[in-house]
Amino acid sequence: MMMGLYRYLRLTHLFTKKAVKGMLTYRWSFLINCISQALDYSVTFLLMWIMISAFEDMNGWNAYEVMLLYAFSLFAYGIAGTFFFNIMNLLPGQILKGTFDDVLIKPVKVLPYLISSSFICNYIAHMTLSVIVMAVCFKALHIQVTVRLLWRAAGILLFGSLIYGGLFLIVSGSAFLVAKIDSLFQIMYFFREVSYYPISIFPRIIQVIVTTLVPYGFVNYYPLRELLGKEDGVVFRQAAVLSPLAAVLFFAVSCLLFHQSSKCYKSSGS
Amino acid sequence: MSLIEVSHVSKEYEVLVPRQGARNVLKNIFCPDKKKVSAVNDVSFRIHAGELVGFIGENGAGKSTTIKMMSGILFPTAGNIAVAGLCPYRKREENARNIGVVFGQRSRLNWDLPMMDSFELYKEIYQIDSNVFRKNVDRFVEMLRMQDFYHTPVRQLSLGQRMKAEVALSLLHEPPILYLDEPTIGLDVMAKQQIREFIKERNRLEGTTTILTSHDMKDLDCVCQRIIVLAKGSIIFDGSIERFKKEHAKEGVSDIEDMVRNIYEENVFTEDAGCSKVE
Amino acid sequence: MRLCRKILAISFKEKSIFRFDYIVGTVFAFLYIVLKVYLWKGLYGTGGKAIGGITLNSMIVYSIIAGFTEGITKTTVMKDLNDSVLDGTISANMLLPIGLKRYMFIQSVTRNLFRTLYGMLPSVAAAMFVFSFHVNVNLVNLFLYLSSACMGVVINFLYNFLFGSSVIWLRNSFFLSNINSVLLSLFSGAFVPVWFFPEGLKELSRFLPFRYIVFEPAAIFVNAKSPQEAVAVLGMQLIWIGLLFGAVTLVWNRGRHKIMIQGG
Repeated sequence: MMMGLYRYLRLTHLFTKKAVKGMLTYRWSFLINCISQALDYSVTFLLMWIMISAFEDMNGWNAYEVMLLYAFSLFAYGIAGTFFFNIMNLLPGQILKGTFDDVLIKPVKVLPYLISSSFICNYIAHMTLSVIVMAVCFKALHIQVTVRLLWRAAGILLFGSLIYGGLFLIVSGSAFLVAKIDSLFQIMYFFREVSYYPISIFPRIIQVIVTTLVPYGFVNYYPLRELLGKEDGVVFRQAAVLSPLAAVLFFAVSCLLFHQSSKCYKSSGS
Repeated sequence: MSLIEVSHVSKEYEVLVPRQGARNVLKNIFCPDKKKVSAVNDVSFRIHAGELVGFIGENGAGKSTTIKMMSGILFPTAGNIAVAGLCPYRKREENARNIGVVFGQRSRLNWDLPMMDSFELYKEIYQIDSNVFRKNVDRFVEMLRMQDFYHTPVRQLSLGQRMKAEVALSLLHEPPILYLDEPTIGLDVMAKQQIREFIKERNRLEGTTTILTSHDMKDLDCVCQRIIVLAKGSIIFDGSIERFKKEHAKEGVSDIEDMVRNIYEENVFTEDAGCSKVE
Repeated sequence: MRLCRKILAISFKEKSIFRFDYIVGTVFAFLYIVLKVYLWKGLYGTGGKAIGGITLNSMIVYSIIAGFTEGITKTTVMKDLNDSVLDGTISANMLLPIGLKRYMFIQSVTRNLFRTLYGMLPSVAAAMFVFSFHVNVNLVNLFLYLSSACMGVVINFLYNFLFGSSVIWLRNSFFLSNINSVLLSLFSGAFVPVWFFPEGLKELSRFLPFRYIVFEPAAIFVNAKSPQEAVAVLGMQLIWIGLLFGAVTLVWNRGRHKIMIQGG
């Protein structure tokens, strides 16, 4: 087990080194891409602040608290995207064209290999922006940034990224079963949008979905409700305690689903 | 015991047949019509260590599917395969260490980097010992005359240069078995010749068992001692090139390519004799 | 007009009705409306307050009509120009017996109109049915909205064409077009209407063309403006069109010269 982990860590390191070396050819477009992404998300933060400030609060959450929800979600998404986004991005094409064969003829476990070969640095922009926004929000909310708080935040982000990672895997894995995964893609991004806001404002059915089927609620809403001491009247009151368990369970189930789906691979092409 | 044993292997695919028309949208999503297509049909053969075997067949005859089952990429629908004593699709990872595979239609090299970088990745993936790796890289570079483009990013290489690198890549971990699926497709005469020589050389020196598919009959004539001819998923000939020539040499037909074409045509004729060939 | 019909016919062929993609697309368009409705409900709370004179009901109508207006004013002309300069097809397009500007305008507008009507009407209808909000609209109002929205289409096209032309000198307008879309999403009012902006930003938005693309037409639609104010908006839009048209003509004459010399 440890030997295996070490092997794939070394592989990740090597793949990343090679990817960076190859990327130097396109460093300007990489930089521009990062800046554009950061600008894009900054405007979303700004609009959120404008909108909620005009009304003072959104179901008991003020602008900075909602921005904190968003920032945590974005950071967790960034961590997960660093390892899993390229799998979701590239795997459907590889399956369609039959180039997934090249993974299967190697003496490696499929999922660890895909993760180590898909590492990308593009999400540095998301993460940097999220950290800045978090700092601003903590200051505006008069929350003392202690070591304890940092540990808690790190924990929330870790488990949040597991949930995002699980979703990335389920969507990628379904590419083994159906030719087009665009609609699953859309489900994933729609509910991500939902999770930027306190889910207590949504109807019960949406609350249930983001707690069970697409458990974004555990990424930011439940843990932060606990952290900020909010009482906004949604059930699942003890959900914050369940977050780590939910995250680990969800990720494990996703891995299993991915593994099972990958057995349906029908190598196409010649 | 032979190195590779394929016994009574069949592979069927399920193909979805979409129904036309707006009313069938939901039907197509939830209960699509399926049709079974047979790609390989009750195929058996044995290959001994050190043999050089060629697969011949038209597109869709089942060559690639057979190779993919022997590499552990696909599960057969029926039958058994043993490669060096292992079942390739059950023990995929272990089996992968015993085989080298080249798919001529696609590249595994990193496009933006020199081939050496891809070699280093393979060293890590296959956990090749540093000394063995060094020795093999040096020898392959020399034998395939790759010195000139060794440090050039792969995207700037010609097709022939890339294919040499691909073949070298698949042999870095010194596999006892090598599968080459159309390795000479689209190459010029010189590059083809060098790759053929290289394969024969490896077979002579290391005893690498090689299975080759190609549409270029010269490849097979030059490299292989034995050929297996597939048509519509079944084996229709298995034996030495000499025997093949002897059996199928007819008046005015001396080229292997022409003989194979004759077999295809006969085969189509017998298959469809009952229905479509009535004039 | 015949060109319009041609492009429409192609669009129809590309997206034959009742395909799976279309159903999924419509469902999600509806879900995004639902999302916005609950966002504004969450902000307004249960008190029935009217922030800045805008009630929850008109805010929801605004948000839907703004989404619609955003859809029809959207244009990819910047990217199209970028691609056609990079792959050299721009020289070929300049040989067409129709002005390049006009050709791209017709293409962009027809495509959008089709996509928006076809893609959004079912979801808007469904939302109206589910949430039963009432739309208070009279003929004068509708006429003012339509004229204003049409001018919004022209403004956004000209603006994008102006900055898209920079590709002739810069060789790549990717970054510029990103900045552009960021500014547009901030100031256009498609998500958060300008009337909620803090004073400084509101003041700034007066000197930029973006609010005249989505915000002003949608505000006219929900009766947030008196007829006099609405006419003033139309006047401002005309001024912007004049300014942008002048600038485009100026830049494009030079650009065409440069393309002719370099051959694209």
